[in-house]
Amino acid sequence: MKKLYLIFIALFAAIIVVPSLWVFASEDTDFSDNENRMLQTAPELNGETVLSGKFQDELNEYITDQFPARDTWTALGSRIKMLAGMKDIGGAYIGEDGYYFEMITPDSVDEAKYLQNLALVKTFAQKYPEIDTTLLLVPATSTVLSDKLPANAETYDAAAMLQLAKTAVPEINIPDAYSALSSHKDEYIYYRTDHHWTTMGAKIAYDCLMDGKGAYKGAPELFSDFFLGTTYSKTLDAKALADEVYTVPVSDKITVNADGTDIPFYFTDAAKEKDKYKVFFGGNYGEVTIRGGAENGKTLLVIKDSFANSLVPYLTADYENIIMLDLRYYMGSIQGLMEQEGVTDVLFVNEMSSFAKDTNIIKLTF
Amino acid sequence: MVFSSFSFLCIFLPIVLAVYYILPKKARNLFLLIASLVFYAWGEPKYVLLMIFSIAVNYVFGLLMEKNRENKKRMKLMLVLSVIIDIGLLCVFKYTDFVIENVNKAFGASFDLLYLALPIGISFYTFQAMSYTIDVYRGDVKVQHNVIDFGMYITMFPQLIAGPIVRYSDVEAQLTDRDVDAKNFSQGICRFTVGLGKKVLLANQIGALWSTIYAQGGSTSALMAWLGAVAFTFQIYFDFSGYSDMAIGLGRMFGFKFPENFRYPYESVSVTDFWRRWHITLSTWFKEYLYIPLGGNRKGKGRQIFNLFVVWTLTGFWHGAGWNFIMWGLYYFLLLVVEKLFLLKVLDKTPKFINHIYALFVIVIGWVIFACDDVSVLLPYLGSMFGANGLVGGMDLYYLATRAVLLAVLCIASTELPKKLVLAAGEKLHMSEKTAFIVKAVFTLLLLALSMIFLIGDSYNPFLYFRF
Repeated sequence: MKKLYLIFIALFAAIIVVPSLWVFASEDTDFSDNENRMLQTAPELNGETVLSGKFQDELNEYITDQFPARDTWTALGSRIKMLAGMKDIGGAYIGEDGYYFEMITPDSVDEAKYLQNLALVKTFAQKYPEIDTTLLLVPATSTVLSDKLPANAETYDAAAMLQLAKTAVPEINIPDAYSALSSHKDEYIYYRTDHHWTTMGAKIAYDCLMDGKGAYKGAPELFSDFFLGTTYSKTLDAKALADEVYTVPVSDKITVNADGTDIPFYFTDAAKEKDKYKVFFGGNYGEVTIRGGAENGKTLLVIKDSFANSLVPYLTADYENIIMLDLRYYMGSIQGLMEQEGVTDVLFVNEMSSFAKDTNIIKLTF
Repeated sequence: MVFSSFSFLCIFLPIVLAVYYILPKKARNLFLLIASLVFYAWGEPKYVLLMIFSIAVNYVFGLLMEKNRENKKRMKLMLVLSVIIDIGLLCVFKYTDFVIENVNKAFGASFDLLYLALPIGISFYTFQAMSYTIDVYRGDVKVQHNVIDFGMYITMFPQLIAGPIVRYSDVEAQLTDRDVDAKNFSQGICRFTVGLGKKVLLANQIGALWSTIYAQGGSTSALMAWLGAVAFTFQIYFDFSGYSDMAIGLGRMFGFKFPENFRYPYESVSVTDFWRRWHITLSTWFKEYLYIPLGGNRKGKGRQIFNLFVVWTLTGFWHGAGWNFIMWGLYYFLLLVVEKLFLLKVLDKTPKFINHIYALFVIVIGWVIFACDDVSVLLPYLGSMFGANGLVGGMDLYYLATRAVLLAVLCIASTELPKKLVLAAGEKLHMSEKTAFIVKAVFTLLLLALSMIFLIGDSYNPFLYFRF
């Protein structure tokens, strides 16, 4: 009997000791592709970090983040939760037909903040009466494909949000992308495993935006057939079906500059990375300048989140210059930029719920 | 440092256990004292000084009382002084801002708040320290001359931050004389792991649901509000009793036998019954050191009710510097008085399941009062429970369906049923001691692994007792 107890104690010790020994002995991983964040690496130990408690906090994070086979364990944890009937894991709904939706519950959308941001856009537009300002409110995947949500699960009401915006700021042109996308909801317009729309979904928004008069004529080309995006990463569900990513051809006269560096229009190295949506410009920057599109002298300022990245390729057929600003990272003066670049049109592209919590729209007044 | 963290589980615990058992017996108490101070300093480096001060004060007053054993008056003075210092520290660090805030509100004054961070566990270790000085005064325990042993008792990391409140008399003998064999140690591991599982696999999971529902500020359907209230009811039990299990298990690994803190409280059939099963060490403390000294029930009905009022206001207030905790204490005061006056006699005649439903109903409402630390949410929340915003709607059916399995597990796990089933199965299958242990060991190790898996993936892992 005593031997049994000792074996049990040894096994207990092994389970709690081996992981930390492993973490200390092996090389640290700096970045988690799945979570899209820097991981905690070995914390610095000195008097100051100990007294402030920084060392202690980081040590705990360190073991958690560098835990051997971390993703495998997280995936197993998700599996167990799913077996227990959970349909939302790590902030993602497990939908029908292999869809993983961002879990945006109705109560999480702050209507007051939404109206505030709309008012800021209106004030901005009123400052430039001669310039056309359009606000493209992108509906989240779950709103358009709501019939694929788990039973009784809810998301925000995109139609009502759109109506609210139209009533609040009638001066602004707000195309009804929600209806346009909804009428194509049986097509492959949103990724199953990522929160973005597909290149085809973006085309529908483009047609809606240009009222069917857009000049773009190309057809999508397959870029990758193995994309597991952000909503998959929240669950790490082994059963997930990978997405396909398409690009659309653009004129080879186009040059792109991102925050002062020349970059290719399509970042083809994304094929080797986890986030294949990065093929569009390689991600988000403060300011991206695209020159050499349609030769018509028109300059479009796009103030946007990442949904715009796959929409802008189409717009190169209609504007000679496109300047994309991501207000999360852009620190310059927008008004100065407007004058300097001779902007002729302004387009806002934001997913509705992220627009409703955006704290950077205030930068429009800078 | 909390037990359900990797820095405790995978670094602190193995190192402390290894060193403890390598050291000769004589050095072990000193080592446990140092380890406990490190444990405490982990989150609050500065407040270690406060703890050392508290040890010194109570140790010295113990010695002073011994010196003045012949002089009753002086002894009493010593006791009163030590209690004033203990309670004083507690008040300064825990209640000052609450008092200032309310004085400002009541008189339109504008005294500055101190913004003192609450030293974790101060309510637990202060009560432990007082159990020593009071018992020394009463002559129930011997004066501790060894400052290391005494310091170790006050700081013992297993129960330092979330109880149980171990009275000095509970462990007096164990301070110098305790033994552990492989069997006891194994039992300690099992108990610790059950507690860890309760905290990580049950409390944290259902707690996330309560947070979601509470965040809606009482604007939900009745079904959703009840779901939230039940979620918190389970969260607080599995979290708190999980901590107690972990503490008792850890204590066992070092040779201590700590008192039990919970006895299936949700099987209660009355409020009186509930408080014999919930946070037993706290109610015992208040009974021994406040209720009985006040006269208990020996000085007439009126005095008894007054005594209960004092005890329950303070019990509520002990849980945190907020009106919700005071209201929660008064709520139980009222219920207990009603039960003492007549309800218990009525309950004697009604069927047990009705008594059970009554008890659970008032317990759940009690937890809503307790949980609404933003008191302005309390009335809307209670309102929504009784249909102010409709009976069904929003995401309530979704949460009910997707958490049904979890809720079923919680219901069963909060009763004595699993334990009875295991015992019955063992008997029926004529399991030898050996087989029974192997089954238990495999279960424990799986539970440990599962808890660690959930700790890796889950970001929701709160510490609920920072206000205690």
